Amino acid sequence: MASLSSALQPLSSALLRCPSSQGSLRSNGVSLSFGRLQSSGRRLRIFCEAKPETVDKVIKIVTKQLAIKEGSVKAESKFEDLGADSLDQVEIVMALEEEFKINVDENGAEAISTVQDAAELIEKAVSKAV
Amino acid sequence: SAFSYARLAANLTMHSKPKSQFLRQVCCCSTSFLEPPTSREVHVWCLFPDEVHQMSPLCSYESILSCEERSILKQAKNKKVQKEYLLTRILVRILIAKYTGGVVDATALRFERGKLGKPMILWPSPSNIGKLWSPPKITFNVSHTRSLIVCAITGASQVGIDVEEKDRVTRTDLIRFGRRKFSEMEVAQLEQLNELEARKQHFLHLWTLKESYGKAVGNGIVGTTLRDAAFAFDDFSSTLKFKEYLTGVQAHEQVFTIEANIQNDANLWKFVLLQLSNSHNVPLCVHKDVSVGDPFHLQIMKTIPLMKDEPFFEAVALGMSI
Repeated sequence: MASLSSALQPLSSALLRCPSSQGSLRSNGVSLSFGRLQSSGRRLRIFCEAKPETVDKVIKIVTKQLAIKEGSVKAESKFEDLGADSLDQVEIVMALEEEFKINVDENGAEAISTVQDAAELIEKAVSKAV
Repeated sequence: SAFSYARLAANLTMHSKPKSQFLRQVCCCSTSFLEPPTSREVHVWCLFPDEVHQMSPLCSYESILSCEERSILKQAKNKKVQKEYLLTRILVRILIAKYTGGVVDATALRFERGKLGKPMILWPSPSNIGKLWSPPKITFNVSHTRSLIVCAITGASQVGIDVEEKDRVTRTDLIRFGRRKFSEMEVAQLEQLNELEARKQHFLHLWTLKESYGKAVGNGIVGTTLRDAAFAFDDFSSTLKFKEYLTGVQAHEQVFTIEANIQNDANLWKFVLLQLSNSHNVPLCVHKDVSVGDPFHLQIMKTIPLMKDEPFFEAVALGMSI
């Protein structure tokens, strides 16, 4: 996992900064019992932030794909809440692949439910490609 | 329920051409009992959210949801998505409850996820209902888009349904999309269509048929079902009689045959691609439990739950598998 390669930070503070984690952290800062982090896989993600530039690019692509008013899409926006169906999601992932010159595997594409998820997936794929 | 069916029936006109016992039962307002379909029948129920705009039905609908559904409803951030979710859940609950003859209350129904995440009815045990009661042999599937919610009920062992607005926009180059996600044969058929609108329609037909298969076996299109289920369309041979294969819906003038090539699945599936109101494409994927020669039968109904049920005639079959 590429996430360990950059400067390490204490686990609890990294998780506290994560904008889309839901629910409260246990006092040991390690186990998270609910929210996005549980539903998108059993891996414990140490870094759940994507660069703002990545998030912005995703927002731009999603806004265009779904023909939504500019400014309506945020990092924590859920695709479902934005009115995206399964075809929209596939088109969005394909547009992101083209924009960032990456390949997203099928499992990864299914796991994303928010803009933030997509941005993190992209950064993971970009760092793998390097 | 607080509704008086008798009062509602008095206010609504009977439909002028009931075609069967089933239709006679549902021609007035909304009945409390529906005859379950056989394994060769599919009942397709259509709910247009734009027709549900009065406050009072929406309020009483909420009381039918389970606690979990109500909390999900509250968390929805978007009013349209919220309404879509509410209407989808109560459509499923109210319909299935009616197929039990009202024995199981709409709110009391429980659901579970089966293999590959497929939503299924979890019937109450006989000890809770009564030893002589057995659940109707039905399976269901529901699909929704902003402007239409559809629910298929059948006596067959599996069914999948999807709904797409016919005029939805696609933004990707469809050949590029096809080369990435579809089979070679499908790309070849797409490439033969040079007119953009025809190519888009064909693409959407492929997409929705794949989705209906994905919904029949699991919870929609996931990774491999996109490529595993491949479809080819061909002219409907003049030697074939449409009504020998499908009744209950008219064939489109240019109805086509659907040839399904499905990997890793030895089951027999019947595909029908419907178009409703010239605005929505609705594919059906039904399991052929027995390979008899009888035609499949469709009953397409329009509903405003607890208010009105009526036959829906603005439907054609664009294509089907033989």
